[in-house]
Amino acid sequence: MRPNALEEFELPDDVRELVSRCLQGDGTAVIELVDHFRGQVFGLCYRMLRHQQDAEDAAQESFVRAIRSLKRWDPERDFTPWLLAIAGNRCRTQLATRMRRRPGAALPDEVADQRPSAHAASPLEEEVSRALGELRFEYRTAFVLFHEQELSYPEIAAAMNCPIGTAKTWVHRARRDLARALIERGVVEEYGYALRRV
Amino acid sequence: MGMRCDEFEARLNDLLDLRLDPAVDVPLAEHAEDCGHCRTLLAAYGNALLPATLAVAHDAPVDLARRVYDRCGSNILVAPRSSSRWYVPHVAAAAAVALVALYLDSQPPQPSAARPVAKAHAAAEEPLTDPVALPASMEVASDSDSAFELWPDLSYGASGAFSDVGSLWPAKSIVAVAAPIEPLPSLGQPQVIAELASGLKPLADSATGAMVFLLDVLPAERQDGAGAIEAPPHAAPAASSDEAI
Repeated sequence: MRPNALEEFELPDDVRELVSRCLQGDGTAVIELVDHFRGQVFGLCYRMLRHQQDAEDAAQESFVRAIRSLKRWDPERDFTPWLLAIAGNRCRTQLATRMRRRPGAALPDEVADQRPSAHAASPLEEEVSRALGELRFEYRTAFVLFHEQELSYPEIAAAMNCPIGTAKTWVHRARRDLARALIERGVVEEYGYALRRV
Repeated sequence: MGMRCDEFEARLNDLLDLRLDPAVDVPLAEHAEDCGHCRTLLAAYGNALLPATLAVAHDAPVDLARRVYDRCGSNILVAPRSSSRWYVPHVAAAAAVALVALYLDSQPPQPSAARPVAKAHAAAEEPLTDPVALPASMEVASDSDSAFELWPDLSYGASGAFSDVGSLWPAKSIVAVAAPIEPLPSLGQPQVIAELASGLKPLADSATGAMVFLLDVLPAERQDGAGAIEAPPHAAPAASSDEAI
């Protein structure tokens, strides 16, 4: 089981109940809501920003905005894409701010967090993460939402506010660009041809 | 017939979209066995997706919920007032006022349909390129006897005259009202100069002289018309000769 998958709130009704309690002013429900989505939100932010502190800030800001906007959430729609859409927008804003501060900087490699992490990344993960950071924002977001957050295409389309076909195209292009980047860097030769179950 | 290389990548993506393992797909595996390029591509896809499939929870801060709660504070369920939108009603009101002003400014002057004031209305309909100039039809001719010819209703106090002026475009109204005063034909008359040169006169005589002068310069058809200024009965001899002054 993936650690960042929802374990206790997979049923949409539970999320709605939590949101309903939040709207009634239940502070405990707010904390529960954040606790159960923080892995997903922070995971997306970290993948997009590649920096621990920036990802923490973006995740926190995403939750604050989401909670303050809970009344705007349509209960007929899924909560997760709505929440991840807010997180994605925060990441985009943060990246844009970063670019304004450092115009012309080779963004992903230079700002990647070099601090030791509890989860030590393998060389392959480093390579993939580097290649992922060089993708277009839309490709990267769609890729992360599909392969890491395990959202469906309709959910990705909802989160990214685009047609389903566009979301699909972005994921395909992200895969293609990633694969070619790994081939160009010789990563495939080094790590063999093993294809794991996805 | 075997699979083509472009079909290989498309099929690979389809399988990944369904979250299936491409390695278990027989046609795909057969093509990969025969084609080195596609075999490399298959391995690259697998390696690219491997970290994602093994993704672990990133170091999400455990106190994130508490931090979020503290940030929201007691207003946790109150949508923040958007400080960036406070000006929207003000801007809308200003835009409405500006639009109305522009609309009024672009409208040609609408003459009153109740009373025809031929010359004034004709002048009002002319395009006014110079805001301080009179339209051609309103200019006082150099050989004109009186500027009041242009403003018969104004000069003779006919009812409704000022309502007509008021319906004109404001700028034109100002010019139109001010312009007829400018010629002041009395200054060019030797009689008046003679009066001024002769020193102080009794008030009654001066007033009488002024009325006689007006009768001279006013159009003949107005001298007997309704509402016209009537000359006093004793004024005629004084106006007829300089000896009386």
